[in-house]
Amino acid sequence: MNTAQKHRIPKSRDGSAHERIDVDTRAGMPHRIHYRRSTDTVRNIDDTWVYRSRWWAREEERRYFKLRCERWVLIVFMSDNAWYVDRRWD
Amino acid sequence: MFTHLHTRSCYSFLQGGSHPEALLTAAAEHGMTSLALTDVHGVYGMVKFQKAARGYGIRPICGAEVVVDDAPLVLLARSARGYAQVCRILTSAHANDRLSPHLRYDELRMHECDDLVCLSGGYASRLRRHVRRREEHAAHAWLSGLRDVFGHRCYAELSHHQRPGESFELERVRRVAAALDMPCVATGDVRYARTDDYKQTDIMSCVRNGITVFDDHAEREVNAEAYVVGEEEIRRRIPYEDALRNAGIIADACAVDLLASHITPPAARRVEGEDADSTLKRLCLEALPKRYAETTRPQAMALLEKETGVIRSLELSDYFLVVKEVVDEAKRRGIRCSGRGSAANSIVAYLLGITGVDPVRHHLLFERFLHGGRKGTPDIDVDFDSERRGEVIAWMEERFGMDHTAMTATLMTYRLRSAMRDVSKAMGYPLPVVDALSKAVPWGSARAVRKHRELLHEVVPTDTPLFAVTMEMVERFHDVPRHLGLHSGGMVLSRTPLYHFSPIQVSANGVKEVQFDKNDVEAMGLVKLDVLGLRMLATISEAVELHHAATGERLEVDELSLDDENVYALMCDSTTIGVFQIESQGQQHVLALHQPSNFNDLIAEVALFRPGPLQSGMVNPYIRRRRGQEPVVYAHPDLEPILRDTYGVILYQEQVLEIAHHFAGMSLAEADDFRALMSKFRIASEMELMRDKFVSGAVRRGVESAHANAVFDMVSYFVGYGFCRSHAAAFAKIVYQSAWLKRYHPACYMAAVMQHRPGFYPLMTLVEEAKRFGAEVLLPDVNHSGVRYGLEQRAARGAAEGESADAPRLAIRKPLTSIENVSEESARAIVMERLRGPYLSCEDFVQRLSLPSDVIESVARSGALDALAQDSRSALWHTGVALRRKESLRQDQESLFALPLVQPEDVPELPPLRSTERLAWDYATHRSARVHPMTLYRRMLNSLEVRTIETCYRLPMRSDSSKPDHPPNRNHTMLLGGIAILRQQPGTAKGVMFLTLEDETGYIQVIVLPHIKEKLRKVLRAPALIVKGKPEGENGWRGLLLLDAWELRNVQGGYTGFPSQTGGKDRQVINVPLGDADVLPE
Repeated sequence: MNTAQKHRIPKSRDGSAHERIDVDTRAGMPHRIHYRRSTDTVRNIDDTWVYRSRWWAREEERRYFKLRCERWVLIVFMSDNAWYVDRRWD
Repeated sequence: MFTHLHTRSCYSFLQGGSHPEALLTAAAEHGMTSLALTDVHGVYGMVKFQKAARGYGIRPICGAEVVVDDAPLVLLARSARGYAQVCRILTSAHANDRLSPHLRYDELRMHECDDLVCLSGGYASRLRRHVRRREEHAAHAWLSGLRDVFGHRCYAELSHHQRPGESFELERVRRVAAALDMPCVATGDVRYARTDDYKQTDIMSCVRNGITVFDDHAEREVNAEAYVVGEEEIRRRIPYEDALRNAGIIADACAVDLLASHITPPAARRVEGEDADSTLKRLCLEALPKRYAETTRPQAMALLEKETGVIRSLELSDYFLVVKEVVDEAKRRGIRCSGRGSAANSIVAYLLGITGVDPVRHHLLFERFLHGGRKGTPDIDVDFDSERRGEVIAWMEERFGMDHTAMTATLMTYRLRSAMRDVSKAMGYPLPVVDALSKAVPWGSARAVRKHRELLHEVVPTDTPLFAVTMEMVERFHDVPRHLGLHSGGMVLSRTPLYHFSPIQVSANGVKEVQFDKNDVEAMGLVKLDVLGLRMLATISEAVELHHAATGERLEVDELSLDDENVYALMCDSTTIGVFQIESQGQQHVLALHQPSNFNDLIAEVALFRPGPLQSGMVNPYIRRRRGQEPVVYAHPDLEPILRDTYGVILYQEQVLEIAHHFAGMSLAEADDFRALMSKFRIASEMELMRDKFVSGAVRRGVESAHANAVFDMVSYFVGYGFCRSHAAAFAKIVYQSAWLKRYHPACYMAAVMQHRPGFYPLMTLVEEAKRFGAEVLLPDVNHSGVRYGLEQRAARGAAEGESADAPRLAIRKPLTSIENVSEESARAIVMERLRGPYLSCEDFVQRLSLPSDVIESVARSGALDALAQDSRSALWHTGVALRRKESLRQDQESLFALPLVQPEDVPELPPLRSTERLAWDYATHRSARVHPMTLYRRMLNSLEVRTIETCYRLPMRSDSSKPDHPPNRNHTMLLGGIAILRQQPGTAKGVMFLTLEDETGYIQVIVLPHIKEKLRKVLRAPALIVKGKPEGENGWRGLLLLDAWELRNVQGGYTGFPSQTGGKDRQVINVPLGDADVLPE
């Protein structure tokens, strides 16, 4: 079983796959992100929320974080122990 | 310690996902010491919540969510007074809109709210909506308005379900509250106990909103965060110490106990200066000499002394007097009524005229009804004429006050079929599949769904998407309340206004009801009287009135001597279709075996065919002993006085009680508890405890342990539902009256049965039965039929010996209301217009009445206009032309009388109706035909050697004294054909199905063993069948043990369900128009 099969990559509403991102956490909260070959520190977590849809299709819950970083403002989410980018503002 | 103050349970009817017990378990796991229940629009689960909370050591807090100005508010009761205020507010909300209860703010202001705590509500509340839209002024105004009503007891609610932006919203709510100096309170806004329960809650949202899980809807939760969260998590979500602290302060200030330690009976009418106990005693003493001869009077007096003592000690005198008042009023109005149930064990009830069975003569045991150790109120059930029960209820409301009376509710919970239907629909299955899935599974508990996986896979393949999830969700819907129903007759009567106990709402048919079921009502100390509607009482009243109208003679059915041989002969012949309680095929079989010959036999007959005696296997021993075919033996000599009347077997609940009392040495109160426990299905450990108690008691009395164990085993077989002797005796009297009417006045009686439909059989069968008893059934006719079934004098054909001369001369006329689409209003219009003169033609009929076209079409098709036209086809043509012409003349403003509506050239030569058409039209318009549907197929069936059912009755059977020379051939098989009029699978039959087939010569019970049923499952659902089997029989009863079956296609007829359970309507399986289509399987 390859990684793609193991972790079904969540898709956005338009059907495109979400981009993976590596996130370092402290006490379960994002602290530093590794995105597009650079590292950025989280300055503030503006908001968090949880989204659970398609439970009948065994889709995992998503924990969203709106992050204010040095370079970007990002909405990322964690699902099935993997992190993805939902939106990004420069 | 944090307390959840805003919690919905599944008693929010599809708006909460967990039972109160599950919520309490979760709260207890978090170490919480109190928990509120705030269901939507009501307090439906509050009593169960309070009962369960005691077990967890958690203090229950009472409240509810009420919709004010289109948004929910949470109201919490600080005391009993506050609870009454919640109830009154909810009552107003339900009065405003039955389906969507709500209040306007100005209506809320009118209510007393001084003992309530108000929370502004969760995410959907008005405050949060304003805040979300940045409408700070509106939010401020709304909170300010709430503070005007609730003062300092109003709190801005902070709940956090981890939705986007919710933390910012809470900050803004705090700012608005701070500006008003209003305190905030943290809540969980709980919708279910655990995060996984979100799934069934989401399905419930879909069911409630009529959508599938694939559809978006604002009311669907976006995540699974509305569970019972612990203190640590709530502090993380709502980091405001003051709000968390306030939750505890509010919880400490609220204390309401709904579980009463005393009862609240209604106030009876009595003489000034005389208390209820004295009034009761006086009335009984006045009646005693009238009811008892001098010989039995001392025994009756002793019984009365004992009973009045118990009644006095339980403070129930008022209750008995109130029931007497109700029964007296019904009798004064000429409404037939009869006390039933264990109340008939009471001499007080007998002397007050509540029941009609003499407890002294029938050796009835008062302790089965009431004893000093009884907890809660006793049930006094009174049956009333079902058609006039409403008059009794209206009188009770007037007499005891509108605020003091309401009907008990029934919580309608999900069962397997309903859960399968709603869940599969929500999961997005196509509607035909939903229908097929729900019909594929039997009635029963939703928890058992996995047992029926194979049946479901006959509808959908094993790899169907979402099938496993659907099964899981169906299981989770086990016992979830879906909506509030109305109890069949439990009227709550209270001395104090009912809003102290429950909100009052109005059912779909306009009846006021409390929000609790009968168990909850009893737990609250409220008293209820079962005002039950019994169709058979209406049938008897109607038969008596029909006879009086037709002959001028009044039948005194209440004064019958109960010993007429001809009446018992009718029962022994098993010709009991239409007779109360003994008309089912199973009862007819038992009658054939039992051959009752006196009233005591009849009491036993009524009690025999119940789950208790059936499961204990005591029916056959009883019958064999009764008929002298085996010796009467007793498990122990001490049982002889108790079981002598029933030949050594246990038939009645009282006997279990007496055995526990006399044999095992228990007190009467203990013995009644023992009886109640034994009548339920128990787990093995409970059973062993009961055995120990029983055996040790008997051994103390000197009985050997082995004997005591044997007697316990005998008692333990009497599980499930059995009758008490008093109830059986009360019913047996009605059985006798109905059988007597059928025997001597069949036309009156069968007309009344057709009118009220009290029993099992479809109209076609009742018509055939009336014919068998010599009563002609005439078709509906616009110039002769009335609004109800009526009688007409026919030419005398000579009466048989012992028969009333009027019986054969009276014929039953079907009413206009028996015609499809003809309402009572339309029928009345036809009859009223007929007072001005008979209808002379179809044109005249159309011209004189303003009836809708579908009504006129049904009348024409039914044959009710046949006397005015050549036949129904011609009548249909005439009325069709006349209707069109009448309409066009009306539109042209021409005089209706200028031209005839139908000209001769308008009517062509029409072919007469073929027999199949006639049958189909009859069935479609008035549910029974001039000839039995099977008649039309007899020639074809004969060619296949399919016999008539009557053939079966000519075969000699065991114990058939009429044909002693022809012993039965046990290997004989027969082919029969007929329409299926009844299908029964009683739980006590161990998987055996009973199918009743009917043809033009009679009916027969087909016994389908489980392995045959499994093999022929699809065929057995067919409306008409050819069956092959071994005939069985006993005296006047015949059955067929099924070996094989084939579907008989396209035959009109076939039924499902019982008319008495479906509002008196037949539920036909098919209603195909008959043509010349083949009827045999391909």
